[in-house]
Amino acid sequence: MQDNCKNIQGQIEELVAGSLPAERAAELQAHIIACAACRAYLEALQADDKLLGKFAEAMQPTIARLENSVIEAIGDARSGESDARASVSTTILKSRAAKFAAAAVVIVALALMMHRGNSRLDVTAPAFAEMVEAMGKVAWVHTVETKHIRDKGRDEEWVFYDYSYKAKLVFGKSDKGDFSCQDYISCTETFYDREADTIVSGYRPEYHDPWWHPTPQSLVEQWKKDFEKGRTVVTHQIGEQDGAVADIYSSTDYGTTKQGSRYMASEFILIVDRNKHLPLATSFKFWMPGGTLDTDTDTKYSYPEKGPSDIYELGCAKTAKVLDNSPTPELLQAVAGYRAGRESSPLRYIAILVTGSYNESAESYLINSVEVHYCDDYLQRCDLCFFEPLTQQQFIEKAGNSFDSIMKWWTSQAKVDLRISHEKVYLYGQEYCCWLHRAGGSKDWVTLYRGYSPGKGRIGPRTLGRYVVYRNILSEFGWTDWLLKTTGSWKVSLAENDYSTSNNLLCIVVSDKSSFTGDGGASGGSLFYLNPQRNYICQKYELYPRSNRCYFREVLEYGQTDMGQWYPRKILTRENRRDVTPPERQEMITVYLDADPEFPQGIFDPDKLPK
Amino acid sequence: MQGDSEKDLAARCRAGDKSAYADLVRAYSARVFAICMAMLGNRHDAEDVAQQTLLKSLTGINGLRHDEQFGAWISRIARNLCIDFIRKRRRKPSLAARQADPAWLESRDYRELQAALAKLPEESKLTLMLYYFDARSTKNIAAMLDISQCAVQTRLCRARRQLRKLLDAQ
Repeated sequence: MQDNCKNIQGQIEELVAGSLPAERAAELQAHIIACAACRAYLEALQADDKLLGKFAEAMQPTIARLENSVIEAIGDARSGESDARASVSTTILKSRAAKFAAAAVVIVALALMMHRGNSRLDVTAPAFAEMVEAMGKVAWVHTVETKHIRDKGRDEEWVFYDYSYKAKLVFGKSDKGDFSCQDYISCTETFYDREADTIVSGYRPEYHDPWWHPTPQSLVEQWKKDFEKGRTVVTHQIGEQDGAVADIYSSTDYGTTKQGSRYMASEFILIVDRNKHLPLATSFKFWMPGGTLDTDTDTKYSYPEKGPSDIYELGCAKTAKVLDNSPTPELLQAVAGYRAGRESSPLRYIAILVTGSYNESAESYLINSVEVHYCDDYLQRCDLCFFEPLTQQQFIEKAGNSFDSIMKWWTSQAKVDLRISHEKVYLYGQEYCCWLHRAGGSKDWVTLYRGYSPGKGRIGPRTLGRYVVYRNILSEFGWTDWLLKTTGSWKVSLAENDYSTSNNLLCIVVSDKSSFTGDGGASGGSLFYLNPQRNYICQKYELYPRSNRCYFREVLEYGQTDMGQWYPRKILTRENRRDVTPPERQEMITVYLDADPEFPQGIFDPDKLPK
Repeated sequence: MQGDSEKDLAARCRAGDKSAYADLVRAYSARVFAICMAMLGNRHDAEDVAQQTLLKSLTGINGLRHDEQFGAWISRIARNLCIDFIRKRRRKPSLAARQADPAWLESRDYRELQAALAKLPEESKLTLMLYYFDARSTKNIAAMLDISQCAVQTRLCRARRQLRKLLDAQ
């Protein structure tokens, strides 16, 4: 096909679609008569059109069956009525295969909706809102969870928990002799280390974040998801549990074996006190296709007036040694400053990050990626582009060295100047999150992930490398949430060393080994250097995981917005095996910021992608 | 079933008009099935999820804020249910065929078309399915996907081009 014909391809496509204007259609027809290649293309598209038409025709019986089944389900609902308070047994049309079970559920729901003008599935769905309200009023919730583990040489294991939602305390005890207590007000976790015969109290900085606190909502949320996902069969009955009249809900899922036979894959049962709306028991079973029971967990709930006051009351030996790693007031103050600094980071900006990777033979950083971050609180978008490396001089000659010059070049000339290897777009919004990719030279975007999740806050995956969902890139570079991820066995404490004292920084050491000092020799810990003069930005962190690797990130320069907010302007990252010099990977990231942005029209629209 | 009549049907359903339900189902079955077929690639799974979508949209219609947006709203329900289904399908085997396939669906033409469709980007697949399953109406597609008719035309052209390349490569 000649070059001119390539331009005509688009018109041929429009002709087949019936959208080409009449006057151009006539010209095109004349060309097609004279051009064998274009004629062949037209015939191929017409053949495709016929094929797709035949495909659609072959699907019509399926669509007709679909219509009839739904209308039949509605028809049944219209002719029946039901009283939600009567003992209702939902009809499970097992003989008509599970696909109608969903219709069966909805039949009753529709009947009620039409009868009472209420769209809630109030027969087959538990009253989750009432459950949350009822649980919020009790003093304590005592739960006993029993797992049956037949394939691990044990009959069962059990653990019980006592929750006080009001006091924000959780006590736990297991048959293996584990004891624990999480206190979300003092942000500590106390547990019994059986090997060392020691009771350890540790600081858990993440407990400052209310997201971690146990609430009735968090308990009920998973049950709600299971029911509302539309399980194959959902039933409701009224019965009795522990002397109380109870609503008994069950949700069953089916699978199909490789041989094509159906089997019960999972069953979830929820039993709720009908008068008090308090959960009394749950049961979850999961089967493998061969019929083997894989998971079998029963949990019972009761509501005592009083709970334990410490882990000794659970039965922990009073002779155990005590190791108190509770935070000092100075440490709490440092972490409070850090969290406040993080909260104060800019929320509305456009940031251009120019990244150079260190090249040994060039003995300098070669720039190989640019990312543009648009951030409007929870609306976030990142356009990321990787290209053949340029020296810093070459980059500045093309793009300049300011936000305005780089942005101007980026939007007009960059894609022409650069030899792009691949691009990515990450979009986070209130109800969606999507990640897209395309190879250099391609016009088409490939969706790597597209998810819908209503509500603000934690949407989609919580983190994706540096593209944190609910914390933006500036916040992540300035106030890493690595500091806020600990476990109860880790000790968090303030320390001093040459770097912290010479730079007037606060050094926080996080480690699960008492021998860890952070001098680079030992592993199993991290150091975070906070700068109180710069809103407690983490000027440097050093991570020493248990492997022979280490990760550093250091802010070399700070920037400040017109509003006085500090942010990291130049960041050095290093990653290497500790016995290898120089570092395997070293990058320099320069941040150019517009803290008073005008966002391009539709920039957060997932359907408007870069051309 | 566009513009005022679509809005009227949705409004009547919300008001509890029983006869409107069946009309709404007839209007949207093909489109919902097209979306499910595009995302799941298997007509049996598409039928199951399309059924769930239609039923769910009827029971939850009080949640619809603007009657004229019923198409885009049900489209989103379909896509969410498909995503859930795909996640579940990764953990468990998919359902076997329950109905015998019509003869053409056993043909080589169909197998080649299926193979090519499977490789298309989701956006292109979706646009083609909606176009061919729902009486070739770009207006309907625009309403379902909440984009302009012009954007639909562009997507259709792109989808045809991509499909042709894939069929040529086989």
